[in-house]
Amino acid sequence: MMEDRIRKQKTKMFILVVVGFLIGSGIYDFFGDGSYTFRVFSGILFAGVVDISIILYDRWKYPGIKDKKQQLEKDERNIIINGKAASFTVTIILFTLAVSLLIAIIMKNKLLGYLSAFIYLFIFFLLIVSKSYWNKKM
Amino acid sequence: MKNRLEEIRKSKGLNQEELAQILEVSRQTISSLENGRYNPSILLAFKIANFFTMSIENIFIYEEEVNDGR
Repeated sequence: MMEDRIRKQKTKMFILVVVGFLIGSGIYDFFGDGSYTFRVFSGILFAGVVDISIILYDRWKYPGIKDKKQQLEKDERNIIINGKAASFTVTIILFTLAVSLLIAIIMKNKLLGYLSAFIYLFIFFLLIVSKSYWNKKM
Repeated sequence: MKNRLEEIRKSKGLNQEELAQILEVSRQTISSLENGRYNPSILLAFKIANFFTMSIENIFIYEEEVNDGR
């Protein structure tokens, strides 16, 4: 079934993209000058090529896959699941940032403290704004 | 919410994948609806009822939750 195929494609893509990143980084290590930044860029570039290749291959092999993916994106149950997962994830992230801020205060690490506080406030602000937006829209 | 969706679907000779395709939802949504794990939106409920040319009440059985008052 197409839905099972799409689920397997996601797993396959994740694994191959990670492998692609490692190969790209490895290739740069072999031929490059040891720059960390370019090593990461090389990994990302390779991972991107792998990602696009898999997408194009699957579209060629299974012509209906693109339409099925669009249908699944609009599926109401999937929308609710994605919303609940996103909400839970934001809660966990905010909690993690609060813990990070606490650690920064205890260890007197100003950089970590300011960064944690800034990201926490930014996400919190974004949450309030997006809730307000959707509240008005619906 | 209890429903007769599985019974009605099978009486029409459709599998979950086929019904999902017709209603433009995922097969998992149909499965969750039939198991009572997921309640459809009013729009989806109307789509289902319209497809089977039945009323919503004939497909979905609404039961009020009973609170014991404590």
